[in-house]
Amino acid sequence: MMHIDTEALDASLQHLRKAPYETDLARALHRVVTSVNRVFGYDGAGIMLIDEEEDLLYVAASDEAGRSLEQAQARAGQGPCYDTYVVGHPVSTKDVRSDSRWPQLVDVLDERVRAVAGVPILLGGSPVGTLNVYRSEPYGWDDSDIAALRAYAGLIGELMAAALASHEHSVTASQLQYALDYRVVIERAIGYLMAKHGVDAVSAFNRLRKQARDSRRRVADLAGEILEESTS
Amino acid sequence: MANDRDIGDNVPPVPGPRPGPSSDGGLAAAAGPRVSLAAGRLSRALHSMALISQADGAALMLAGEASGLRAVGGSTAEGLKLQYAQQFERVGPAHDSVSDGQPVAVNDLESHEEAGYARLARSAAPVRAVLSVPVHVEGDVIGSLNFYRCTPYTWTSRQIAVGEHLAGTAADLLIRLAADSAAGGPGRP
Repeated sequence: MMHIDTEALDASLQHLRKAPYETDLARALHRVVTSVNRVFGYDGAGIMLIDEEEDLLYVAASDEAGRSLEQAQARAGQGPCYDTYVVGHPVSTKDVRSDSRWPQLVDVLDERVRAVAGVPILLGGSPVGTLNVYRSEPYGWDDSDIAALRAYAGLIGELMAAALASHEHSVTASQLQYALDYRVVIERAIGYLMAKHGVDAVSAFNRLRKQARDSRRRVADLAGEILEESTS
Repeated sequence: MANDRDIGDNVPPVPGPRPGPSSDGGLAAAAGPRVSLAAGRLSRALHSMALISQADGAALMLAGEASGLRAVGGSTAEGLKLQYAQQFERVGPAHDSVSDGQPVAVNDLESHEEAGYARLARSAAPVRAVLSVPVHVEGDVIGSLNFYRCTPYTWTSRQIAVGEHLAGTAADLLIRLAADSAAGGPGRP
């Protein structure tokens, strides 16, 4: 149940919009990432959004070592943030360098990145990106860590949704709009490939991305074709 | 719920939400669709902020045209009641945080010595401890984000820092909700 005085909210928002305040989603997300990092004392934090190639790209990162997660996962084609995005649930590792789930990451990841946790950022119930944090020493993430990160991801989701609803024009907003527009068709294609090939969601996702790259098509276009073929 | 509590014969009841479009809960739908969407987003954001800050709840007051701070919402009924109490008693940590431009931590409203707090404590019961943080947008103070507990509590420096960070995110959210409520079209759910 909501406990909001909508009349007071409406009057306050009308008052607020008389001042021409600047809106820049990338800057707002950077402030959130800085907050997460400082408040919880992690060694780094970042927000990734999916792009047209279904690569997770940073739209905000607190530091360069953390930013290496993006390039390392893109090169390895695997990693905790991809798993978070695909399965839509928190994924964490005490030490990513010795985690058997992502063996190819070790060679390409900055040595300062050890313990990693990621939570999905949901819009309309579907993941559009991830909030991820890391520590430079092995660390066992507990339920309170994950609960706080989920709450922050919820806050980020509301901020993103409000930015889209206000028709904010920026590269980040456009990227977010793409992620939102095509997430459902890609999710359905992943589900179809899982059933057809008897693989898990991450394998189906990687199969879809590889096929799109090999045929030089957008992942969303290929996903649409796959779904069309499946019903014809 | 806090709104149902007996707050004493000698204390006038604090006005709550009026029936109709201004009310919360199930009546929010009676407001315009954009305001209802904004209310939903704000409500969910306050819930997240309460969880992050490890408080019992989070609540918001915003500056109006000329009437000073107005109660806008809370993550629980107690939070909205606290804000109404501060609005109508015209005293409390939210007012102090806005006038001082910095966080104000009150460990127990009942034992706070400042004038008017004893009355506020009765009006805002069962809330006892309040942390109020000013919400800044480009140098302007537009309101106060409050965190509260229903038992006396000593706010830590870490919680105050968390509150300040969350007030920054609240500012970023509010200016977008304001822009959204001005934008055309049906809005995005």
